[in-house]
Amino acid sequence: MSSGDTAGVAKEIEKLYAAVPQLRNIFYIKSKIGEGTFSSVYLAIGRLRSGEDVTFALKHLIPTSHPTRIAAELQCLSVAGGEDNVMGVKYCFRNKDHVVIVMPYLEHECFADILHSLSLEETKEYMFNLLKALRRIHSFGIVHRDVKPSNFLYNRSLKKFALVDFGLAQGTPDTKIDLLKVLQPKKQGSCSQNHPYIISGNWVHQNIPVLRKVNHVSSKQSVKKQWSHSGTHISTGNHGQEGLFGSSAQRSVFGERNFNVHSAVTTDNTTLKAVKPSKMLDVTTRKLATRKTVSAKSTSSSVNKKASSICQTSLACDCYAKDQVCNICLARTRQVAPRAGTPGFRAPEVLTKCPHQTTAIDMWSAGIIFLSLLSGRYHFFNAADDMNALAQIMTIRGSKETIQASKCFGKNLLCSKELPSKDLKTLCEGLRSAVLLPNGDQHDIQKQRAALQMQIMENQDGWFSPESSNITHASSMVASCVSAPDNMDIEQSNHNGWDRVPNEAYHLLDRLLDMNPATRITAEEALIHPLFKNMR
Amino acid sequence: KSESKHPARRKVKPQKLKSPYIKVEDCSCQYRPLYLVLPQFRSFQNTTSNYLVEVDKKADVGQKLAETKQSINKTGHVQDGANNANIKLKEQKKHGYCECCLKKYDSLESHILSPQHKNYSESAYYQVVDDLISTFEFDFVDWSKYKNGRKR
Ligand SMILES: Nc1ncnc2c1ncn2[C@@H]1O[C@H](COP(=O)(O)OP(=O)(O)O)[C@@H](O)[C@H]1O
Ligand SMILES: [Mg+2]
Ligand SMILES: [Mg+2]
Ligand SMILES: [Zn+2]
Ligand SMILES: [Zn+2]
Repeated sequence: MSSGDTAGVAKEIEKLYAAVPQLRNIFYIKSKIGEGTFSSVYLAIGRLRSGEDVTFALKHLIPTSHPTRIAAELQCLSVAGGEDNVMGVKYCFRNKDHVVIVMPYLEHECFADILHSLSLEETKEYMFNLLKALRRIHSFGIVHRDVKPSNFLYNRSLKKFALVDFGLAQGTPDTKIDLLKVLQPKKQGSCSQNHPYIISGNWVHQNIPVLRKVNHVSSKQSVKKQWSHSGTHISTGNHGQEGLFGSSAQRSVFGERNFNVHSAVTTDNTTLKAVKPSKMLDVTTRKLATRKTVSAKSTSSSVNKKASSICQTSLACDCYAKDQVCNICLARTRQVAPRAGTPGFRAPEVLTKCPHQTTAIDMWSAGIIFLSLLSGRYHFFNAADDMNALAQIMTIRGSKETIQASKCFGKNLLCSKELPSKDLKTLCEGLRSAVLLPNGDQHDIQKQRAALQMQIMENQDGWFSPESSNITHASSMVASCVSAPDNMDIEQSNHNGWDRVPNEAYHLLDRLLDMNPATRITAEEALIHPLFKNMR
Repeated sequence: KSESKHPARRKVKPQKLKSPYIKVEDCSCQYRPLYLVLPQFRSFQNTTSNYLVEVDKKADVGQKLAETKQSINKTGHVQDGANNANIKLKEQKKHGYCECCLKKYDSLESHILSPQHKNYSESAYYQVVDDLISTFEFDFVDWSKYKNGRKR
């Protein structure tokens, strides 16, 4: 860290003491260990009554967090934490809007720095321990939503692990975390606006879709109907709900943490001049996105229900399942679905705005981490937006497979190109070959490696090449780009077990990256996967 | 403008999507379709400039930058663009959305000093946090007791 930085940190620490004066009497805050959009984390020493001096992590939350969100994060840590690799909580301080969560400190390495030195055995341990943490939180009905390496702390020498950061967590319908019940999804539209959220084994299916068959009515009446409904959304959405204590109002605060406001960035690359929805509609969408939330998804079963219970009618057009869009469909409201999390780790059902999301989204993210570990590429996916992210996933998992899985969660997916699914073993081994670079400056090697892997991936990017070139070709390209790595490196790497990765590893990877959340492997199942047969 | 108030008067002229494309529609046909023409594999690298223009992705970018920063702290050497990343994170942390006041702000510092927010910060809404805090055991030595006259 530069001296400028040190001075900056000292200033921030002083500000924290000023914001929460109690801390001054208890902790010596030494340094800053993390900064995100919604918090800053500091390292501090405090003396316990036993006389022992202990190091803690102090998480100072952004003062614009809603108290219920803060409390939910705290409750996740205190109820589910402290066991099975889930971070616990020691105490919490509050002064007005400033809240500081005190956690045991776990020193940890940065994933990108250790990725290429991990042995296969360590990789298995890492995954096993991550799955243990996920099994634990899922058994409490917590969907973490932001599973990624920086939220799973790993202390290599102590062989200790901790899942942290419940700042985006949501509850399943039967969650055991009281405050996550408040954070449960409510449907898009206003029918059950004033009804308490129904908590049951199943998600509510009140969002009855318009049947396709009735879609050819595009009369002025239905247009007006749609518009008056939009008006209703605005008024019911805002009406007297700033009180924040009514369950529906409380819920409305928790749309999406990452302000998924204009979420349809997906038209950016199009050559079409999309008709801009009117200002008013835009406002409606925004309100829905930030203040209301998540709709319960209609599954195929609900498609058959009576149209009488339709909350929201939409104007029909002729574009469904066709390679076209028109003013009518582009003027519809955007579907609102939970989206919080980190791009690159988002499951296909999140990317496609499936409102019914489960703990399976965390399993997908765990699969992406495993993919990084096996391939040596991090970040594996780096898309600018959700549709590009989906396109990237499709190049690996295949277009047919993606289309088929999407059907299962209520999405019709069209793809102009047939992209074959890739063999995960071949893919990972091909990318791993770029890990063996000749000696040089550590930082240069990281850059070169990333560039090579990018080339390999682009080479197989089936979107533009007439037929995707095969991976053996790509690996030989690596060999020609790089002067031969010395034998020491290869031997070292083989010694680390990477020359005999068992097929079970790729089987588990395939099950974690199941495009269909309903059949994707659960944490409990994954822990008894044959890959872990020798582990506790 | 009047056209948008009466969408039915618009001519419905479907526009073809150019290949390659993907299109995602909810089976309910109630919502705006999602679509993408010309998928890009390395789009993240190509869209650095989008960092600053795409408001809705600020949070994501923040997390990303935060990770970059952690990496610097751990390894002790500054990577390319790290300072930049740092500055960008600081920049983008300034504005955001206040879940308490239900409004967007351009400056975090000034928002939390605003009368509306200050009022909220002293409200009873934080009881839910305090209730949880009261369940924790306070197990620290509080040095203020020693500072206030009594010596250890
Ligand atoms: N208990 C802890 N021990 C050590 N480091 C921690 C701890 N909790 C958080 N950190 C560090 O701080 C970073 C940010 O914490 P996190 O809870 O993920 O906050 P955010 O919501 O801002 O991402 C983590 O990635 C990790 O590096
Ligand atoms: Mg985090
Ligand atoms: Mg967080
Ligand atoms: Zn249409
Ligand atoms: Zn505020």
